[in-house]
Amino acid sequence: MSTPLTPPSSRTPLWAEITKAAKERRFTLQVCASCATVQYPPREVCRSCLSDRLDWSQVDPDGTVLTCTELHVSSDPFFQNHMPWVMGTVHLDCGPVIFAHLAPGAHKISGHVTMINRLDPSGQGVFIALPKSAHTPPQDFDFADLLTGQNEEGKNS
Amino acid sequence: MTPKSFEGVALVAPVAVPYVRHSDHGAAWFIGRALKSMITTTGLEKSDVDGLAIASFSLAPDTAVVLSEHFGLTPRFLEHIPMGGASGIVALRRAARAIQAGDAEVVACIGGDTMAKGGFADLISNFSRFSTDAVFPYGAAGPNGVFAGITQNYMARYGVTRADFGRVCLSQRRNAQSFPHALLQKPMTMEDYLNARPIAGPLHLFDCVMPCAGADGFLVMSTDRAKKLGQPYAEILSAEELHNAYPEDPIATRGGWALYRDALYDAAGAGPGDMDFLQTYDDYPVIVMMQIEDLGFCAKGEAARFVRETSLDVDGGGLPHNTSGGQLSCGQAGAAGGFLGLVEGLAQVTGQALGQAVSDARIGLVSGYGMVTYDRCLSSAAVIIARGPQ
Repeated sequence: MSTPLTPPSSRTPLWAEITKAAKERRFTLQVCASCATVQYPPREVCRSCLSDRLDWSQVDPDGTVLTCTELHVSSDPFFQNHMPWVMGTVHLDCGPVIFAHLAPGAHKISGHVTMINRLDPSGQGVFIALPKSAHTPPQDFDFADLLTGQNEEGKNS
Repeated sequence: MTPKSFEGVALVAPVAVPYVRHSDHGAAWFIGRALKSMITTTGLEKSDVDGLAIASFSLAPDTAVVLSEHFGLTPRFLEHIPMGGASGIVALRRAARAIQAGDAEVVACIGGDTMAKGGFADLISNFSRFSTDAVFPYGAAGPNGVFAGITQNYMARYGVTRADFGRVCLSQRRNAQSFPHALLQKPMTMEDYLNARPIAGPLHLFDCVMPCAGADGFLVMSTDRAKKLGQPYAEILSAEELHNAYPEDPIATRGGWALYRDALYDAAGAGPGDMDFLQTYDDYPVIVMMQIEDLGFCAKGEAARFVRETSLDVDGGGLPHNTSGGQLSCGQAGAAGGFLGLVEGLAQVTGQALGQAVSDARIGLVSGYGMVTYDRCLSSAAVIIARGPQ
């Protein structure tokens, strides 16, 4: 076998702070130093007041599932090997809408979730939404648990 | 301030370069074939074309300016319009104003793209900065992943079923039967539609467009010039565009059309009931339904009922819609997808339809929707066109 497959690793330079935070298991987003608007996706100037003083800060990671999508087709070989894959959008209480991997138990529209930031097998930070009522404490959850969880769900169906 | 009218502007020579699933040609081949076809149709010299408005993804890293060199043209008006599904109407608006201002006399508006094998995966992996960082790493599903969520939310909010979307898709497939360039013409039943393989969430195979290569375009000039050429032409009664409308909506349930439709109809002196046809941007059937609502053909959330009660077929006695079969049947030739409905609308009102003609089509509405850079498309556009005096 050749090199193990990983999810897509390409990111813009703005993503570096999120990957750095993922190594420390911190959930950080840009917050405007002038008007306190929380930003996402990462950007160069504030979407509200156009200030360029965007500080990376730990923000409230709680939110609500807006969409939950079971993917059956992907252009990426890693995900092709783990179909169906469940992703969706989460509306954070602090404002932004974020695409995330949805952990088992977080597949319910309008369900309350907590967002965590973890390294995926490509070495980049990614967001994972966990159910608020999870048995595993959020700090112990890793990307690998997503794979296990999805496999178990597959067996059950 | 009310925008100036588009009086005195003619839309001429709607052309389509036949779509193919894959091609080894570059985008310039498809765009060049469209230009050649316009010149042949109208009897113009190549050098008469002094303006270009081009939309293409696969021209990259080049932009429209290289086409001047490639085609041996010296245009004094040049636009590169990277707005995907809104690009045809945006090109029309730019070109029309250039004609009115005297900045150009003949502008060729063309959307064209090639599609190499594996080309679509390359396109979606690097479509926008926001997408590269914040969408693509979550399953690499491209627009299917985004619109699956929008579709799911719309279905739950307005009580819409897959069969409702199926009515739109089946009608377009019927309309494609007579359109020679449609890549998908095989008759489809509701059972075929409902039993198609799953793609993402509620989206199944026939909800998604098939990426392909091709080009569509038209010429913009003065009505005087069109008359001298003896060409049938269409006039622009009104046209609008808007970008990043409703940014506060956490999930898209509407587009910019809703914000300008009153202005659009007022300027045209016509309403939805006056339209002989509607050509919407059909990247997914949920977006068709949003346009039917936001352009005032029915109230918000009522499009499913509308398509249950109103035939969308060319000859169904209802509202002829996507009369060439749309992208869902023709394929999505990149940025040409933003021209397909407009070119079909121009062909219908000028009596040059390649497929089945809408009976006595005098006036019609065409809308566009483009550029999913994060969780929705940003650009919306709409135009009301009418048959020019003979």
